[in-house]
Amino acid sequence: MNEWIQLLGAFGGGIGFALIFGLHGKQIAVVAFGGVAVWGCYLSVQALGGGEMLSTFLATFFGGVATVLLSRVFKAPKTVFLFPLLLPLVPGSSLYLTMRLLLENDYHLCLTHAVKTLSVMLMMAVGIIVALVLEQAAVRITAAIKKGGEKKT
Amino acid sequence: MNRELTQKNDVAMQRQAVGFALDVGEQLQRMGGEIGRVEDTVTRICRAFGAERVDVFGITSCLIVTAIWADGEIVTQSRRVGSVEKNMALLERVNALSRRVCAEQLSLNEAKTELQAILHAKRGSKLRRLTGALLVGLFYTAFFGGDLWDCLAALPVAAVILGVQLLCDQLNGNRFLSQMMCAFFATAVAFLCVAVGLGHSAENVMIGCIMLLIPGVAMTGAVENMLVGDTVSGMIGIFESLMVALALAGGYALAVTLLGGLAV
Repeated sequence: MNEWIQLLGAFGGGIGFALIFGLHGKQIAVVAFGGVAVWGCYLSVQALGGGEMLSTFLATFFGGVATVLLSRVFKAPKTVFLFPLLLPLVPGSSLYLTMRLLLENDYHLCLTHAVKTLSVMLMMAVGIIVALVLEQAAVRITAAIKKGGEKKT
Repeated sequence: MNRELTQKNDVAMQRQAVGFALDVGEQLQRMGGEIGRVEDTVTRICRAFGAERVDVFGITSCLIVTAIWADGEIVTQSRRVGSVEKNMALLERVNALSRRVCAEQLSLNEAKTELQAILHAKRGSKLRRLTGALLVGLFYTAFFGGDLWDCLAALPVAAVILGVQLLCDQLNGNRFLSQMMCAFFATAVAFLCVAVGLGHSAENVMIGCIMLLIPGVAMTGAVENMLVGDTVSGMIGIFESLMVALALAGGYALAVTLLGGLAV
Protein backbone atom coordinates (compact mmCIF):
# COMPACT_ATOMS: atom_id res chain seq x y z
CA MET A 1 0.00 0.00 0.00
CA ASN A 2 2.75 2.37 1.03
CA GLU A 3 4.61 1.74 -2.21
CA TRP A 4 1.58 2.58 -4.30
CA ILE A 5 1.19 5.89 -2.51
CA GLN A 6 4.85 6.62 -3.16
CA LEU A 7 4.46 5.82 -6.84
CA LEU A 8 1.41 8.07 -7.02
CA GLY A 9 3.37 10.76 -5.19
CA ALA A 10 6.23 10.48 -7.68
CA PHE A 11 3.72 10.82 -10.52
CA GLY A 12 1.98 13.95 -9.21
CA GLY A 13 5.21 15.49 -7.98
CA GLY A 14 6.72 14.84 -11.41
CA ILE A 15 3.91 16.79 -13.09
CA GLY A 16 4.43 19.58 -10.57
CA PHE A 17 8.16 19.88 -11.18
CA ALA A 18 7.64 19.61 -14.94
CA LEU A 19 5.34 22.65 -14.72
CA ILE A 20 7.82 24.57 -12.56
CA PHE A 21 10.73 23.78 -14.90
CA GLY A 22 8.68 24.98 -17.87
CA LEU A 23 8.31 21.69 -19.76
CA HIS A 24 5.36 21.46 -22.10
CA GLY A 25 2.97 19.07 -23.83
CA LYS A 26 4.01 15.45 -24.09
CA GLN A 27 7.21 16.09 -22.13
CA ILE A 28 5.19 16.59 -18.95
CA ALA A 29 3.51 13.20 -19.28
CA VAL A 30 6.80 11.53 -20.19
CA VAL A 31 8.56 13.02 -17.17
CA ALA A 32 5.73 12.05 -14.81
CA PHE A 33 5.60 8.43 -15.98
CA GLY A 34 9.39 8.32 -16.16
CA GLY A 35 9.61 9.47 -12.54
CA VAL A 36 7.25 6.66 -11.56
CA ALA A 37 9.39 4.17 -13.48
CA VAL A 38 12.57 5.43 -11.81
CA TRP A 39 11.02 5.15 -8.36
CA GLY A 40 9.61 1.72 -9.31
CA CYS A 41 13.12 0.67 -10.24
CA TYR A 42 14.41 1.88 -6.87
CA LEU A 43 11.67 0.00 -5.00
CA SER A 44 12.16 -3.21 -6.96
CA VAL A 45 15.90 -3.27 -6.35
CA GLN A 46 15.21 -2.76 -2.67
CA ALA A 47 12.59 -5.51 -2.68
CA LEU A 48 15.18 -7.81 -4.21
CA GLY A 49 17.44 -7.11 -1.28
CA GLY A 50 19.60 -4.27 -2.64
CA GLY A 51 20.78 -1.67 -0.16
CA GLU A 52 19.96 2.02 -0.42
CA MET A 53 23.14 2.87 -2.32
CA LEU A 54 22.73 0.11 -4.88
CA SER A 55 19.06 0.96 -5.41
CA THR A 56 19.88 4.64 -5.87
CA PHE A 57 22.66 3.84 -8.30
CA LEU A 58 20.59 1.46 -10.42
CA ALA A 59 17.54 3.73 -10.42
CA THR A 60 19.66 6.72 -11.46
CA PHE A 61 21.33 4.64 -14.13
CA PHE A 62 17.90 3.65 -15.40
CA GLY A 63 16.85 7.31 -15.38
CA GLY A 64 20.03 8.24 -17.22
CA VAL A 65 19.41 5.71 -19.97
CA ALA A 66 15.80 6.91 -20.26
CA THR A 67 17.09 10.48 -20.50
CA VAL A 68 19.48 9.60 -23.31
CA LEU A 69 16.69 7.91 -25.28
CA LEU A 70 14.17 10.68 -24.61
CA SER A 71 16.57 13.46 -25.56
CA ARG A 72 17.10 11.72 -28.88
CA VAL A 73 13.39 11.21 -29.50
CA PHE A 74 12.50 14.81 -28.59
CA LYS A 75 15.75 16.30 -29.99
CA ALA A 76 16.19 18.26 -26.77
CA PRO A 77 19.14 18.74 -24.41
CA LYS A 78 19.49 16.01 -21.79
CA THR A 79 19.12 18.41 -18.87
CA VAL A 80 15.47 18.85 -19.82
CA PHE A 81 14.67 15.28 -18.82
CA LEU A 82 17.47 14.21 -16.52
CA PHE A 83 16.71 16.16 -13.37
CA PRO A 84 12.90 16.06 -13.47
CA LEU A 85 13.15 12.26 -13.84
CA LEU A 86 15.50 11.85 -10.89
CA LEU A 87 13.64 14.04 -8.41
CA PRO A 88 12.05 11.18 -6.42
CA LEU A 89 15.57 9.98 -5.63
CA VAL A 90 16.72 13.30 -4.17
CA PRO A 91 17.25 12.60 -0.45
CA GLY A 92 14.84 15.25 0.83
CA SER A 93 13.94 13.56 4.08
CA SER A 94 17.49 12.86 5.18
CA LEU A 95 18.48 16.44 4.38
CA TYR A 96 15.59 17.64 6.51
CA LEU A 97 16.60 15.31 9.32
CA THR A 98 20.20 16.53 9.12
CA MET A 99 18.91 20.04 9.60
CA ARG A 100 16.56 19.18 12.44
CA LEU A 101 19.08 17.10 14.34
CA LEU A 102 21.64 19.87 14.03
CA LEU A 103 19.18 22.20 15.75
CA GLU A 104 18.49 19.62 18.43
CA ASN A 105 22.23 19.37 19.15
CA ASP A 106 22.23 15.67 18.30
CA TYR A 107 25.49 15.89 16.39
CA HIS A 108 26.10 12.17 16.20
CA LEU A 109 22.83 11.34 14.40
CA CYS A 110 23.09 14.55 12.43
CA LEU A 111 26.42 13.47 11.00
CA THR A 112 24.99 10.05 10.14
CA HIS A 113 22.22 11.66 8.12
CA ALA A 114 24.55 14.20 6.54
CA VAL A 115 26.84 11.43 5.33
CA LYS A 116 23.83 9.50 4.06
CA THR A 117 22.55 12.54 2.15
CA LEU A 118 25.92 13.15 0.55
CA SER A 119 26.51 9.53 -0.38
CA VAL A 120 23.09 9.23 -2.00
CA MET A 121 23.90 12.31 -4.07
CA LEU A 122 27.28 10.86 -4.98
CA MET A 123 25.61 7.62 -6.08
CA MET A 124 23.20 9.63 -8.22
CA ALA A 125 26.06 11.48 -9.88
CA VAL A 126 27.87 8.22 -10.57
CA GLY A 127 24.71 6.64 -12.01
CA ILE A 128 24.24 9.58 -14.38
CA ILE A 129 27.83 9.49 -15.51
CA VAL A 130 27.85 5.75 -16.20
CA ALA A 131 24.74 6.19 -18.36
CA LEU A 132 26.25 9.13 -20.27
CA VAL A 133 29.58 7.39 -20.80
CA LEU A 134 27.79 4.33 -22.16
CA GLU A 135 25.90 6.61 -24.55
CA GLN A 136 29.13 8.06 -25.88
CA ALA A 137 30.56 4.59 -26.30
CA ALA A 138 27.43 3.47 -28.14
CA VAL A 139 27.62 6.49 -30.46
CA ARG A 140 31.25 5.76 -31.28
CA ILE A 141 30.67 2.08 -31.84
CA THR A 142 27.73 2.67 -34.18
CA ALA A 143 29.73 5.31 -36.05
CA ALA A 144 32.62 2.86 -36.41
CA ILE A 145 30.29 0.11 -37.63
CA LYS A 146 28.71 2.47 -40.17
CA LYS A 147 32.12 3.56 -41.40
CA GLY A 148 33.24 -0.04 -41.75
CA GLY A 149 30.06 -0.87 -43.66
CA GLU A 150 30.60 2.00 -46.08
CA LYS A 151 34.15 0.94 -46.82
CA LYS A 152 33.06 -2.55 -47.71
CA THR A 153 30.28 -1.44 -50.06
CA MET B 1 27.87 31.61 -45.35
CA ASN B 2 30.94 30.73 -43.39
CA ARG B 3 32.98 30.96 -46.63
CA GLU B 4 31.70 34.43 -47.29
CA LEU B 5 32.83 35.42 -43.83
CA THR B 6 36.33 34.02 -44.15
CA GLN B 7 36.89 35.52 -47.57
CA LYS B 8 35.83 38.96 -46.54
CA ASN B 9 38.23 38.91 -43.60
CA ASP B 10 35.77 41.19 -41.95
CA VAL B 11 37.00 41.80 -38.43
CA ALA B 12 33.77 43.43 -37.34
CA MET B 13 31.82 40.35 -38.46
CA GLN B 14 34.23 38.03 -36.68
CA ARG B 15 33.80 39.96 -33.47
CA GLN B 16 30.07 39.86 -33.83
CA ALA B 17 30.15 36.13 -34.46
CA VAL B 18 32.11 35.51 -31.27
CA GLY B 19 29.77 37.85 -29.40
CA PHE B 20 26.79 35.91 -30.67
CA ALA B 21 28.36 32.58 -29.68
CA LEU B 22 28.83 34.02 -26.19
CA ASP B 23 25.22 35.22 -26.11
CA VAL B 24 24.04 31.69 -26.82
CA GLY B 25 26.48 30.18 -24.33
CA GLU B 26 25.45 32.63 -21.64
CA GLN B 27 21.77 31.83 -22.07
CA LEU B 28 22.36 28.06 -22.11
CA GLN B 29 24.37 28.33 -18.92
CA ARG B 30 21.81 30.54 -17.19
CA MET B 31 19.00 28.15 -18.05
CA GLY B 32 20.73 25.17 -16.53
CA GLY B 33 22.81 23.67 -19.33
CA GLU B 34 25.87 21.83 -18.03
CA ILE B 35 29.22 23.50 -18.47
CA GLY B 36 30.80 21.00 -20.84
CA ARG B 37 27.87 21.33 -23.16
CA VAL B 38 28.00 25.13 -23.09
CA GLU B 39 31.70 25.12 -23.99
CA ASP B 40 31.01 22.68 -26.79
CA THR B 41 28.18 24.79 -28.22
CA VAL B 42 30.23 28.00 -28.16
CA THR B 43 33.07 26.21 -29.96
CA ARG B 44 30.76 24.87 -32.64
CA ILE B 45 29.11 28.21 -33.30
CA CYS B 46 32.47 29.98 -33.68
CA ARG B 47 33.59 27.24 -36.08
CA ALA B 48 30.36 27.60 -38.05
CA PHE B 49 31.24 31.25 -38.60
CA GLY B 50 34.65 30.33 -39.92
CA ALA B 51 37.00 30.28 -36.94
CA GLU B 52 39.93 27.90 -37.36
CA ARG B 53 40.72 27.33 -33.73
CA VAL B 54 38.48 28.04 -30.77
CA ASP B 55 39.42 27.91 -27.09
CA VAL B 56 36.61 28.21 -24.59
CA PHE B 57 36.83 28.15 -20.84
CA GLY B 58 33.71 28.33 -18.76
CA ILE B 59 33.00 28.27 -15.08
CA THR B 60 29.70 28.81 -13.34
CA SER B 61 29.78 32.60 -13.55
CA CYS B 62 32.07 33.33 -16.47
CA LEU B 63 32.80 32.39 -20.09
CA ILE B 64 36.02 33.20 -21.95
CA VAL B 65 36.51 32.57 -25.67
CA THR B 66 39.44 33.05 -27.98
CA ALA B 67 38.77 32.35 -31.63
CA ILE B 68 41.49 32.40 -34.28
CA TRP B 69 40.63 32.87 -37.94
CA ALA B 70 42.61 31.65 -40.94
CA ASP B 71 43.70 35.21 -41.76
CA GLY B 72 45.42 35.41 -38.39
CA GLU B 73 42.79 37.57 -36.76
CA ILE B 74 42.37 36.73 -33.07
CA VAL B 75 39.19 37.61 -31.22
CA THR B 76 38.95 37.23 -27.46
CA GLN B 77 35.85 38.06 -25.47
CA SER B 78 34.60 37.21 -22.04
CA ARG B 79 31.18 37.24 -20.49
CA ARG B 80 30.00 37.40 -16.91
CA VAL B 81 27.13 34.96 -16.55
CA GLY B 82 24.43 36.25 -14.25
CA SER B 83 21.91 34.62 -12.04
CA VAL B 84 20.51 31.22 -12.90
CA GLU B 85 16.97 30.93 -14.19
CA LYS B 86 16.10 27.26 -14.66
CA ASN B 87 13.82 27.17 -17.67
CA MET B 88 13.88 24.03 -19.75
CA ALA B 89 11.53 25.31 -22.46
CA LEU B 90 13.84 28.23 -23.24
CA LEU B 91 16.93 26.02 -22.89
CA GLU B 92 15.46 23.74 -25.52
CA ARG B 93 14.69 26.59 -27.92
CA VAL B 94 18.13 28.20 -27.58
CA ASN B 95 19.68 24.79 -28.11
CA ALA B 96 17.61 24.21 -31.26
CA LEU B 97 18.69 27.64 -32.55
CA SER B 98 22.36 26.80 -31.95
CA ARG B 99 21.94 23.56 -33.89
CA ARG B 100 20.52 25.42 -36.86
CA VAL B 101 23.35 27.94 -36.73
CA CYS B 102 25.89 25.13 -36.74
CA ALA B 103 24.15 23.52 -39.70
CA GLU B 104 24.73 26.91 -41.39
CA GLN B 105 21.12 27.50 -42.15
CA LEU B 106 21.09 31.01 -40.73
CA SER B 107 23.05 34.18 -41.29
CA LEU B 108 24.48 35.96 -38.29
CA ASN B 109 21.83 38.69 -38.31
CA GLU B 110 18.97 36.22 -38.68
CA ALA B 111 20.36 34.17 -35.80
CA LYS B 112 20.66 37.28 -33.62
CA THR B 113 17.07 38.33 -34.23
CA GLU B 114 15.88 34.81 -33.49
CA LEU B 115 17.78 34.72 -30.21
CA GLN B 116 16.24 38.03 -29.18
CA ALA B 117 12.79 36.71 -30.14
CA ILE B 118 13.31 33.65 -27.95
CA LEU B 119 14.51 35.71 -25.01
CA HIS B 120 11.58 38.09 -25.23
CA ALA B 121 9.02 35.32 -25.62
CA LYS B 122 6.55 34.84 -22.81
CA ARG B 123 7.91 32.97 -19.82
CA GLY B 124 5.91 30.28 -18.09
CA SER B 125 3.01 31.99 -16.36
CA LYS B 126 2.80 32.38 -12.61
CA LEU B 127 -0.34 30.27 -12.56
CA ARG B 128 1.61 27.40 -14.08
CA ARG B 129 4.29 27.71 -11.45
CA LEU B 130 1.69 27.91 -8.70
CA THR B 131 -0.03 24.78 -9.99
CA GLY B 132 3.34 23.08 -10.14
CA ALA B 133 4.27 24.09 -6.61
CA LEU B 134 0.91 22.95 -5.22
CA LEU B 135 1.22 19.58 -6.94
CA VAL B 136 4.76 19.12 -5.65
CA GLY B 137 3.74 19.99 -2.09
CA LEU B 138 0.66 17.78 -2.19
CA PHE B 139 2.22 14.71 -3.77
CA TYR B 140 5.64 14.79 -2.19
CA THR B 141 4.08 15.04 1.26
CA ALA B 142 2.22 11.84 0.42
CA PHE B 143 5.41 10.40 -1.02
CA PHE B 144 7.28 10.90 2.24
CA GLY B 145 4.56 9.31 4.31
CA GLY B 146 2.18 12.14 5.25
CA ASP B 147 -1.50 11.31 5.70
CA LEU B 148 -4.36 13.01 3.86
CA TRP B 149 -4.55 15.94 6.26
CA ASP B 150 -0.82 16.53 6.02
CA CYS B 151 -1.16 16.65 2.26
CA LEU B 152 -3.88 19.27 2.51
CA ALA B 153 -1.75 21.29 4.93
CA ALA B 154 1.04 21.17 2.35
CA LEU B 155 -1.03 23.24 -0.09
CA PRO B 156 -0.88 26.58 1.78
CA VAL B 157 2.78 25.92 2.64
CA ALA B 158 3.70 25.35 -1.01
CA ALA B 159 1.72 28.45 -2.04
CA VAL B 160 3.58 30.51 0.56
CA ILE B 161 6.94 29.24 -0.68
CA LEU B 162 6.15 30.24 -4.25
CA GLY B 163 4.74 33.59 -3.12
CA VAL B 164 7.86 34.46 -1.14
CA GLN B 165 10.05 33.31 -4.03
CA LEU B 166 8.22 35.52 -6.52
CA LEU B 167 8.28 38.45 -4.11
CA CYS B 168 12.03 38.11 -3.55
CA ASP B 169 12.60 37.87 -7.32
CA GLN B 170 10.65 41.10 -7.78
CA LEU B 171 12.65 42.87 -5.09
CA ASN B 172 15.77 41.58 -6.82
CA GLY B 173 16.77 40.08 -3.55
CA ASN B 174 19.78 38.05 -2.61
CA ARG B 175 19.37 34.35 -3.33
CA PHE B 176 20.35 33.15 0.11
CA LEU B 177 18.10 35.66 1.81
CA SER B 178 15.25 34.57 -0.44
CA GLN B 179 15.87 30.95 0.45
CA MET B 180 15.97 31.76 4.14
CA MET B 181 12.71 33.72 3.99
CA CYS B 182 11.05 30.87 2.10
CA ALA B 183 12.14 28.36 4.73
CA PHE B 184 11.08 30.67 7.54
CA PHE B 185 7.59 31.36 6.24
CA ALA B 186 7.08 27.78 5.09
CA THR B 187 7.94 26.43 8.55
CA ALA B 188 5.82 29.07 10.24
CA VAL B 189 2.79 28.27 8.07
CA ALA B 190 3.31 24.54 8.55
CA PHE B 191 3.32 25.02 12.33
CA LEU B 192 0.24 27.24 12.14
CA CYS B 193 -1.63 24.69 10.05
CA VAL B 194 -0.86 21.91 12.47
CA ALA B 195 -1.76 24.13 15.44
CA VAL B 196 -5.12 24.92 13.81
CA GLY B 197 -5.70 21.23 13.26
CA LEU B 198 -5.05 20.95 9.55
CA GLY B 199 -2.41 18.26 9.31
CA HIS B 200 -1.04 16.05 12.04
CA SER B 201 2.67 16.34 11.64
CA ALA B 202 4.44 19.56 10.70
CA GLU B 203 7.49 17.43 9.99
CA ASN B 204 5.82 15.47 7.20
CA VAL B 205 4.49 18.67 5.66
CA MET B 206 7.91 20.26 5.81
CA ILE B 207 9.72 17.29 4.27
CA GLY B 208 7.28 17.32 1.35
CA CYS B 209 7.38 21.06 0.75
CA ILE B 210 11.12 21.33 1.25
CA MET B 211 11.50 19.48 -2.05
CA LEU B 212 10.68 22.86 -3.61
CA LEU B 213 13.66 24.43 -1.89
CA ILE B 214 16.44 21.90 -1.51
CA PRO B 215 19.37 22.24 -3.87
CA GLY B 216 19.43 18.49 -4.55
CA VAL B 217 19.41 18.87 -8.30
CA ALA B 218 22.07 21.57 -8.25
CA MET B 219 24.24 19.48 -5.97
CA THR B 220 23.97 16.32 -8.05
CA GLY B 221 24.77 18.37 -11.14
CA ALA B 222 27.79 19.85 -9.38
CA VAL B 223 29.12 16.45 -8.33
CA GLU B 224 28.60 15.28 -11.90
CA ASN B 225 30.57 18.29 -13.17
CA MET B 226 33.44 17.36 -10.88
CA LEU B 227 33.43 13.73 -11.92
CA VAL B 228 33.70 14.61 -15.62
CA GLY B 229 36.61 16.95 -15.01
CA ASP B 230 35.05 20.41 -14.67
CA THR B 231 36.43 20.58 -11.16
CA VAL B 232 36.25 24.33 -10.66
CA SER B 233 32.60 24.61 -11.73
CA GLY B 234 31.81 21.56 -9.65
CA MET B 235 33.37 23.07 -6.55
CA ILE B 236 31.55 26.36 -7.04
CA GLY B 237 28.32 24.43 -7.52
CA ILE B 238 28.79 22.27 -4.44
CA PHE B 239 29.69 25.25 -2.31
CA GLU B 240 26.70 27.21 -3.57
CA SER B 241 24.36 24.32 -2.84
CA LEU B 242 25.81 24.01 0.65
CA MET B 243 25.23 27.72 1.23
CA VAL B 244 21.68 27.38 -0.04
CA ALA B 245 21.12 24.42 2.27
CA LEU B 246 22.55 26.43 5.17
CA ALA B 247 20.22 29.34 4.38
CA LEU B 248 17.37 26.85 4.38
CA ALA B 249 18.44 25.51 7.75
CA GLY B 250 18.79 29.07 9.06
CA GLY B 251 15.26 30.05 8.10
CA TYR B 252 13.93 26.83 9.54
CA ALA B 253 15.84 27.34 12.79
CA LEU B 254 14.52 30.87 13.15
CA ALA B 255 10.94 29.68 12.73
CA VAL B 256 11.41 26.82 15.17
CA THR B 257 12.87 29.03 17.89
CA LEU B 258 10.15 31.66 17.45
CA LEU B 259 7.15 29.41 16.94
CA GLY B 260 8.32 26.02 18.17
CA GLY B 261 5.81 26.12 21.04
CA LEU B 262 2.90 26.08 18.60
CA ALA B 263 3.35 22.51 17.46
CA VAL B 264 5.55 19.64 18.43
